[in-house]
Amino acid sequence: MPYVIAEPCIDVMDRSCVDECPVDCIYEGSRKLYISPVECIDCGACEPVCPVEAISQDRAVDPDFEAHVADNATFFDSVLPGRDEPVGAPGGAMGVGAVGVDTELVAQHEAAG
Amino acid sequence: MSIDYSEKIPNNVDLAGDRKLQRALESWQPNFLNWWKTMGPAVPTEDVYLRTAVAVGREGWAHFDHVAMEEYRWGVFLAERNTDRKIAFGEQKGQPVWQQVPGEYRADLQRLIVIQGDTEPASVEQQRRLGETAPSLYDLRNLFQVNVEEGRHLWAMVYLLHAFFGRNGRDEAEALLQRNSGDLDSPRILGAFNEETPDWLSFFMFTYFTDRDGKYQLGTLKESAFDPLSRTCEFMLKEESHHMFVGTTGVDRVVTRAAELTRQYDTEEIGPHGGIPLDVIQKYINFHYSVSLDLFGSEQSTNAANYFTAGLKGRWQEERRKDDHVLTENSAHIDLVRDGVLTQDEVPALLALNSDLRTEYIADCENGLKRWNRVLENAGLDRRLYLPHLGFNRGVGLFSEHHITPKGDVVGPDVWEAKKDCWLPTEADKTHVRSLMKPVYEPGKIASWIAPPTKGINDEPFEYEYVHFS
Repeated sequence: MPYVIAEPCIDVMDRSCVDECPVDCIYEGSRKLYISPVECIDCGACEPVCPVEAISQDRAVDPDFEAHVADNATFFDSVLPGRDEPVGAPGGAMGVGAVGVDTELVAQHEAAG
Repeated sequence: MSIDYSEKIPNNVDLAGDRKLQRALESWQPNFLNWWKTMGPAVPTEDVYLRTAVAVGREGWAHFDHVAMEEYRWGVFLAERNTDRKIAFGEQKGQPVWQQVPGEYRADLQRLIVIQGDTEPASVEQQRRLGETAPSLYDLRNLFQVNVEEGRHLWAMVYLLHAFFGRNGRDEAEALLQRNSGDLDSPRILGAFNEETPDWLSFFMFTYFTDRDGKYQLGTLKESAFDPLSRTCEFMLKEESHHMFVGTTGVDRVVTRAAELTRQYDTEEIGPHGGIPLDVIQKYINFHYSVSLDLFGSEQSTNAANYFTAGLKGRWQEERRKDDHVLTENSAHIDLVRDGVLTQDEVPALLALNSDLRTEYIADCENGLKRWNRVLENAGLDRRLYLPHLGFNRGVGLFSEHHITPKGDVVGPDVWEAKKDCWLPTEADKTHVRSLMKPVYEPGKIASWIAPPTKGINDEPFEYEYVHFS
């Protein structure tokens, strides 16, 4: 899996990464953004623009956030609450719009403050 | 500082405030334009749908429009300055970064900039004639986008040479236009940049494997204590992403089409059906990957160690690494051949920095192979593509004196000679690929050997008229 977005994005969703991505592979949940592991081309353009350093290569994810490596894939592979089918690999986030729901891991994350 | 497009040379470095530097760069500009006309894209065009940088900040930086290529606004753009930035590694870790070149590092920094700068015009030269055989207008546009941005990257390095290295820097900037890719008398500095890019499969492989090396080299220079170099490379990386997009999706599309034809005709021998066989694609991977590995230099390097210790060139993602960033007490393992057997040696980490960077690069490349194999799997094919062993076909470093098969077996010269045509593109392979390279310039049409893209550029459709010809 290429680049992943981890816990620091939850409830931040700055979206600078979305503007940088040359293949439009960053999708929007309700509280967090997710990178499609199938569509990401490993260019790394998203990583330096994240103001909360939530993005990294899968092999370099902070050990505290390791669960988010698989969770990014889960967002696309599983049937999310309220949906009939997986998000899959639709070929671009813009055409899909905000998915509006999160994985269980992110949905259950306690809101800060 | 925002980009000033009213200037002869667009810039965000206040060129107007330094008349001497401005005059020096303005005197270099006609030489660059002359080089572009003689060594740049050979296909005459009226205009091309190109992306131009209009800002360097987070608020969005690119503008798309049809532009006459020779009127493209090549300029000098540095990422925004962080006034609190500190040196992140080496013996001066924690000190403020440098805004000027310290005298003791002048020669080394100039060398690093010249080597990086030399690669930028080289690839334009290598790709000069590709436009004559573009598989679609979309691809032709992407080629030209890569070309103009490599030209801008040359500007980026030339700015540094002019602004910070005096007379020597100006001479080196001039020499960047005098060396030419593949020229026997005056070649480009690095081997991969003297190889031919004679067909579009080579172009896609180059933009996947060799431009990806660029991602990692620029990533290490982005860490530099010399802040103008760091900021220059940070912005170049934004543009480099597009080049990797072209390579990754280009190979995707070649593999997709090969898989379609393989299924359709129930044979991997799809050459007679207008496709590029998977076996040939594998050979191109073997070649371009191994040549690109050479760009990382020798596994053990005192130069790399010295650059790191001095703060000139860091590691990939230096600031995110969880160590002391000095590395004097650390060790690392490097791969090598001893007594005819592949093994590893433990060496001081400082000496193994090239190997460290190469390891990161290889991990990226493995992702590419997973991606292309997913295409094959989805097509219901059992065949899989793979990366050859890192010792395969090497011309630089510890493996260069050995013959190693793609699977990682150490073999003698006789076996290598007997089998190398199974592993590397043969003249027959190259001739077949070249035979497929016929231009398709009609909007919405595409050549037989490649699948169309899943989407166009900047939300325009594939059918969009991305290029107008003269």
